[in-house]
Amino acid sequence: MSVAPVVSMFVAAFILLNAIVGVVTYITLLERKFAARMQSRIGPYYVGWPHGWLQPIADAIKLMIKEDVVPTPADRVVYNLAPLVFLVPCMLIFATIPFAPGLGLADLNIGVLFFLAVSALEIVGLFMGGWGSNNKYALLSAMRAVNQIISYDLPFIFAALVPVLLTGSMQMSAIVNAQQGGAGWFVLYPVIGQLAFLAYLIAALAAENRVPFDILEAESELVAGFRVEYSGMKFALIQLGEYAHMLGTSFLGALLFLGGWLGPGPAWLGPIWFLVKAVFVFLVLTWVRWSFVRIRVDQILAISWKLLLPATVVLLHGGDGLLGRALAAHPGRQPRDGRDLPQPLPPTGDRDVSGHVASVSGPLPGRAGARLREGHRPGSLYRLPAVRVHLPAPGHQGRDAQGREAELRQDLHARAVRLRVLRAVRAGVSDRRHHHAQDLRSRDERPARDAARQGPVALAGLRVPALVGHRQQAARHAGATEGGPRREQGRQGVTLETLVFGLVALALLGGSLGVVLTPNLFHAVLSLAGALVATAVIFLLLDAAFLFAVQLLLYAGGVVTVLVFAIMLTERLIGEHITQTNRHVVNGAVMSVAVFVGVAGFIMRSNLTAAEPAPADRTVEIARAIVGPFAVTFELLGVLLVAALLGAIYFARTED
Amino acid sequence: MAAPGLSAYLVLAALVFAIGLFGVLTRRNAVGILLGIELMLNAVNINLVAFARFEADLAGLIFTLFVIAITVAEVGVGLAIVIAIFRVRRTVDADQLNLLKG
Repeated sequence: MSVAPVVSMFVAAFILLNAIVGVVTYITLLERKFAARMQSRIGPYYVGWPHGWLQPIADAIKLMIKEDVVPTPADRVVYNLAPLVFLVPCMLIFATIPFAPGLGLADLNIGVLFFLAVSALEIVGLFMGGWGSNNKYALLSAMRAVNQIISYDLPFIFAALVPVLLTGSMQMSAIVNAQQGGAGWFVLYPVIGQLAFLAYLIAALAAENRVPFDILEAESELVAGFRVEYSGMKFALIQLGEYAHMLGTSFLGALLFLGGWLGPGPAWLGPIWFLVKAVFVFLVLTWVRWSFVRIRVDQILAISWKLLLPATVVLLHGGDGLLGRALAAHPGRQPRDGRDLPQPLPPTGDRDVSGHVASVSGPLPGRAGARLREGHRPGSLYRLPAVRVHLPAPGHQGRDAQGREAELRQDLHARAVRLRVLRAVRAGVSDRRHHHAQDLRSRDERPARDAARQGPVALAGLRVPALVGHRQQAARHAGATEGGPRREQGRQGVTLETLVFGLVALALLGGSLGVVLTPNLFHAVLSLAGALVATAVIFLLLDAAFLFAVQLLLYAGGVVTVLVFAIMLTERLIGEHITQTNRHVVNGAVMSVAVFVGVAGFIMRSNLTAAEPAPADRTVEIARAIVGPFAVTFELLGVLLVAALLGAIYFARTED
Repeated sequence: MAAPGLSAYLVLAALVFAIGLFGVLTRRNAVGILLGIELMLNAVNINLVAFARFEADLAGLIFTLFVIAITVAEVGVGLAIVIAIFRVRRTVDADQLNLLKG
């Protein structure tokens, strides 16, 4: 067990948090100055010489020493928790943003998805504040927020996914690297880039509740919206969260469309370029804010559902198919043709002899994203490149087969180490070098005839998950026979994982009990949100990062929001003072306990020996499986969702 | 103790499932019943992902995706029905929705 990486992560996170708070504080000053300039004013001037540069600090101090008022009818717990719940996702979104190559907390391979998923959680804190204040303005604002944010989540995600499709990777650093050279920035791509950037800006405005879309804090109708009752430090926290989210969205926009840290000058200028671009996006949003008037609720919803959503869907298709073809022929891109189809394991090693250093394409960190992109052609999302090993020049094939193998092994080992660090970062557990070293060793030591039959390329089987199907079985058996006992030894030290598991399990059980036992239905929904987030963390512990993001995005962000909406519409007759349980409490309890005892007994009796743990990251595999063996099921799911959508509309619509 | 194994996750999921079942059986409010169903589906998801992890089988992850998507559909339709019932009967108390009782 090693604590050092965890501690260093904490230190890095602490530094990043403070940096964000500092930047956010001063971005408010920037906005005020900018707005003042637009309105021919001076703006903050007197606190701090010159031009009031101490104003944000003075504001912060003022907010901190102000009286903290809790309204008497407020739901105290919800009211007090709301600013924190609001702030945490707004800060977490910065965790996956790399500010320069290698300068960031965690450059996850699902970075963009993580950002979108976590930022979808912001809504929970928002309606907690609106409901907990027990104020008509706040409640109306929360209802409007639910409307608006559900409507704008989809266009926002779709617009952000266009660069992802153009890159072929969700890893943020890969997206930036893909914009290198030529007319590289995605915003400069013909038609599709500009349209996607425009859609991104509009959706971002709506997601940030900036002026043309700020119905949920419309001053003329709702005073200050969901935070009308907040004062002092809690108000400051909400404000901080809002601006941090704004800044995060600006950073994401700069990264996705404006090339991130790319720019002229030496490499150390990278973060500064990135900041400048993010501030540029921020100022564009601010410019819109101070130029337009607020539009009505129905107009806002119409823009989202009738214009932005179809447009972004078309853009997504364009990014992958039609215009992707034009992009392929774009100068600065290497045109792709049939010969460059990603090939699953060529039979012999003498076909892919291009590179000088052995390199592997596949779901590995580092250059993995760039490699994925290389295989990008129209529609190639569905045929992600399989593992390919490029070996050194053919002339030396006979001479240094040994040397090449050693080189390859070294390279793969370096990748495995990086993978381990990433996993440790993601799971928050101590490192598992043993496992990876184990895998490397066990498969390297495969019998020689295997290698002879498949050529040197057989080594590509290293660490790279096989496709779904019979090979999966083979891999499992191989691992089970070779790595069993030694793997157990490697597991002995991992106590941090146990600790995290225990904490998350407690949170999950507490949340679940809250769901069924609290008399207040709103608290029950909040408990459900907690339980769902805890489940997402459990998915993370189980190495399913993709499902973690989906869980946050759909469940915690979507389902909970819809449930709150339903409560707001129906709660009137059943309040806190009426008993919430029916007369079958005892029967229900007996039944539940019986079910649990039965299932647990079954689990205990069955001899569950863990087979080979799955490879670390399986996002690419999931994508392959969805368009491969599970394609029909996936289509059926789409039909089901459409039917459900129509059904829900049919049921919920009033006759008018 | 080593890292939590498969059975730890399974027992946890069974607990959550039982708690959700209790909620479904005892809640009066129809929305509360839906909350319980959410919990039960969630427990199933934990099971699927745990098996996918420890048995190196991809199907568990795919099915979790499907379950999540179907849950969204279920919540959408379920809540729409609840709201429609509320409009007609002015109540969401499941005990009072007994028109079909003989």
